[in-house]
Formats: sequence, C-alpha cells, structure tokens
Amino acid sequence: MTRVAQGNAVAFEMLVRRHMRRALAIAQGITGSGGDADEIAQEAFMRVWQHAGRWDAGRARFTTWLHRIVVNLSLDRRRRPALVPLEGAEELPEEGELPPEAIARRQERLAVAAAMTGIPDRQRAAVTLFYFEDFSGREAAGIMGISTGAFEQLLARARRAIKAALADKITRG
Amino acid sequence: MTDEDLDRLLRHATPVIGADRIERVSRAVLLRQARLETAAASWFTWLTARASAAYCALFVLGCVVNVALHQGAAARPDLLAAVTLPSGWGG
Repeated sequence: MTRVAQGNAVAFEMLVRRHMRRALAIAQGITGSGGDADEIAQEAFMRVWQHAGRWDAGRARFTTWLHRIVVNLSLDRRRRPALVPLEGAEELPEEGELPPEAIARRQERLAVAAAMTGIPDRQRAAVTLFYFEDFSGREAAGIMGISTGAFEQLLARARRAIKAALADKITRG
Repeated sequence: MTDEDLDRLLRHATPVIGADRIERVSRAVLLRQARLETAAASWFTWLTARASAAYCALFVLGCVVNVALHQGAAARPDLLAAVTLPSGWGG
C-alpha cells in the first residue's frame, strides 16, 4: 500500500486483483445488483488510487479502509430510487445444468436475497459483512464505523426481519 | 425455523462472483487508472510547454530592450549624460 501511495502502478494492479472479489461481493450483497456492484468496485479502487496518500496505517488496516469505501458507496447507491431485483444479480447457469444440491442452494440463496430486499440498507450491510463475507463482529463494526454493540443490535434486527420474511414465504408456500 | 437454520441459510447465501467478472472489472479499473495517469502526464506536458514559451518570449523581449537602450545611448549621448545615477550604479 505504501508503494501504491508513491504512485506505483504495478503495486496497484496487485492490490486490485487481490481485493476485487470481496469488493464486488460486498457491493452486490448490499445493492442487490451486479451492475451497480461492478461500478461501485471500480469507483472504490479509483478512490484508493487517488487518495492512497491519505491512508494512515496507524488508524486502520487497508482492508478496513477499502471495505468502508465500498460499504459507503453501496449505501449511497441504495439511496437512489431505482432498485434492480436481487434475483437478477445471480451469476449461475440454468437450473437444468445443475445437480439437485446446487439447485437447492440456489433456491435458498434466492429466498434469502428476496427476504433481504425488505430490510433497511444498514441491516443489509451488516448481514453482508458478517454472514456473506465472514468478517468478525468487531471487524464488521470497524468497517461500518460503529461500535461493536451497535453492530450486534443491527445484526439482531436484521436476523429477526429476515427470519420473519422467510417464515412468511414458507407459510404462503 | 431455528436460529441455527437461519445461520446456515445466511452463511450459504453469499453472492456468486465469477472469475471472469473479477477479471473484467479489474481490467476496467486498471484502464481507468492508466487513462488518469495519461491525462495527468499530458497536462504536465502542456504546462511545461507553456512555461518554456513564456520564458523564451521574456528572454527575447529582454534582448530587444537591451539593444534598443544601447542604440539609444549611442545616438543621444547628451541624454545619457543628463541621467544621474546613484553612486555605485556605474556610469
């Protein structure tokens, strides 16, 4: 990261390739749109390149800084009126080409995605970081810029809302 | 649905991000970064060229003024003699 701050393009390329998957996954988990996630990830890395000198190793890890940029851009994007349905964001082949377990997992993923469309944006961000990307509560709280206690409350509310939505879907069949 | 069921569902609901998509977006970022660098470099070149042109123009102007002063002094030495320079300025 120090070399990136000095304008080293090769170091920047390594950084982009190393962290792109997670940046895309976080953005997609929050926005629910593959297209928006692509744009957000691009914008986040361009900000890293342009403002690398501002990063302070003593204050936060690079990944925390990068993921915070991604989360903030994603939340900003969600404030726009247009919302692409989550189902459209999946990148999987047709069900006929998949084994039964993969189809079941895909359906579960879609059910969770549908349940998540109804919860507030910050709760989506909490679920994305903690469950989808496997950050610890402390790391996720750091990325969102809130205390660990506040993050746990946010996550608990998200879990309750998703559970209710999934139960409702099961009841309706 | 138990809490464990919900945890399991959420843990397996991670969006699928394909390798080709990672590559495509990475390339797009690197292209934007390269364009940004090119734009910055061309701006610097533009500024350097303008600064060089301004320096040359001032140099030529200085030469013209210098020659004119010498020619004027040769043609009208009486005017030059009338000018009182402070001590230490020569003349």
